[in-house]
Amino acid sequence: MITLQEYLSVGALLFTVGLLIVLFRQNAISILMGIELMLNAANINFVAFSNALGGLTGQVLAIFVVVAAAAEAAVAIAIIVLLYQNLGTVDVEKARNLNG
Amino acid sequence: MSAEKVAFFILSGLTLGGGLAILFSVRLMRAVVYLLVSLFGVAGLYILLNAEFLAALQVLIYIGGITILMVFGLMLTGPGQFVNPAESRLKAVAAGVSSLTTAIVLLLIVKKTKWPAGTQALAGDTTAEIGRLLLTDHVFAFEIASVLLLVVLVGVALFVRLARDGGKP
Amino acid sequence: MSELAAVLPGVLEKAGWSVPGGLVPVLAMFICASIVAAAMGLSAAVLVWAERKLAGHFQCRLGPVYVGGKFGWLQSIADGIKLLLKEDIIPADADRPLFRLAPYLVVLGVFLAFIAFPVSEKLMVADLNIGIFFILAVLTLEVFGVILAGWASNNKWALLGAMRAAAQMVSYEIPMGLAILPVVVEAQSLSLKSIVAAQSGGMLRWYVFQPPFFMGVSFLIFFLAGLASLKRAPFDLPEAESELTAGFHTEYSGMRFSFFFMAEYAGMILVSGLAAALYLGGWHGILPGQSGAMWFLLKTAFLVFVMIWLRWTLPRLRIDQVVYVGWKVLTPFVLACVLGQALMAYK
Repeated sequence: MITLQEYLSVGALLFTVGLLIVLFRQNAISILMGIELMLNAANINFVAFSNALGGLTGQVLAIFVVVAAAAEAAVAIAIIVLLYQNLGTVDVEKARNLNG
Repeated sequence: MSAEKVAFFILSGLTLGGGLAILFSVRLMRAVVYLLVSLFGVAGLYILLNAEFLAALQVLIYIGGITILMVFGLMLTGPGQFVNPAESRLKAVAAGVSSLTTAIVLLLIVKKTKWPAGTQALAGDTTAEIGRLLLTDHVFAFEIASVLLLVVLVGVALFVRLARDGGKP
Repeated sequence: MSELAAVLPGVLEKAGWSVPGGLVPVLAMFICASIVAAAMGLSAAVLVWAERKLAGHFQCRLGPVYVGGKFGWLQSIADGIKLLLKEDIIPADADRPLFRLAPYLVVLGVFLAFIAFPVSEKLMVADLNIGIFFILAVLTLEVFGVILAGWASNNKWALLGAMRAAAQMVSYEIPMGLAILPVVVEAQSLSLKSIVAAQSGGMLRWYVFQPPFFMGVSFLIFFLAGLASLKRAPFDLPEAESELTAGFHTEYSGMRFSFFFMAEYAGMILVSGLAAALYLGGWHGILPGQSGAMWFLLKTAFLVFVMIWLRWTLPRLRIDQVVYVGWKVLTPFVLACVLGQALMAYK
């Protein structure tokens, strides 16, 4: 039997890995991958709670998170492609035009 | 050690290992493959948690949709971008320290909190029940999600038009 | 598989082998996996021969005649041996690990889908309660394998073919997935076993013949979208040999190439079998009371024949026509079918 804490620990560690990727990488697509990992970590927690408490609301919430993640990925990729067309790079450190 | 436990450790290993491999991979295309491995691990964890529907949804949306989108994004952002730009050392240290702090805090929370004990485990065909919940208790969120998707559809179409006209509105 | 796991201890005891109790399910899994893999390989071999023979006759030729006697029925084995003996070339500038990984991913997608393949009431590996949804989900692995193959080859034709393939397969997944919905609404289940069981009682109970034919239309849409997601003619743009050499598998040779080939033919059986199970009554016969794996295989074979027939009859579409048909014809029609069926179910 795997306890709730173990699943939550995996979720916490996956969130940390995602955060590390977002903070460490400068490539916009890498950052997007990190964000997806963080959303997945949240989903693991939702589903773990749903299983531990015997209700399905957690799974329904996880479905909404997946929908939001898909929408976010579509918009992000579109923005990245536009960024590349305008600046010739997808390095987020170079996109500083709005930074005063 | 039970078979469930072994499966749990293998799947969490895949999930976390895939995530770490993204962090250290220099070629972005391989990073996408590692992301695939990580997402597969998460789908396996869902199956262990009796959420088969969500596991299939995870494979369908993430692997069939999001990773493919990322590959397209990679291909459309030029051959020079397949290798990640170098990171500065200060940034790496800062990222490491803040992530480590987050990990410690989160794990402490997980360990110290008294989680409520389970009432009953999920069993049987949960798909119909999920569908019922989506269209009764959570119908408002369901509608909002469809509005979100419509907005994204229109927004991305506008972006594509901008890109075709050379980035000028 | 659960039946096999239940029978297995007795069989093992008779054979005089002692296997620890915990290993029996694992053994059952291995046996099932090997059967599925063998069936996939064998059916691909038969289909390659059938396709060549039929193509010959459609074009007023004879097709293969020499290998193995009068009908050339050993032709696929000869082809297989030839492919095995060919040199396995990996281009110098290819991304080697990904280049090797891609064919396995393509085959894995189709292979996993066969887990829920309903040959007959007893002859299925596992009756998952999300059966049809599971199949749609794992089939998306194939798209990723194809795009990886195209990218890792480091070849412009392969890359163009892969991008075309991905665009086409992702767009046609939408009508394909939606075409299943009327059936799911009617059967009120995602499990293939219950969907087929709901169609018992003769030909007129098959979903394709149910008035007012919302499911009949969605059967046609499912079949067309399935053809497109298999990249078969008239939707074989990703491997259009006159423009792209061989598309995403241009750089593949030997056994790795044959993996793509096998995935295509196994995919044909999969799509035909799914269409037979979802709309044509699966293992139920024409008259009430008839049933058996034979009926399912007959229906599948007929649909595979139609696929081959279409391939050697119709010319290839242009890429804009393919995208047009997917988004502006099939998707609206299938949405109308879903809506109509949902209204029928609303009482």
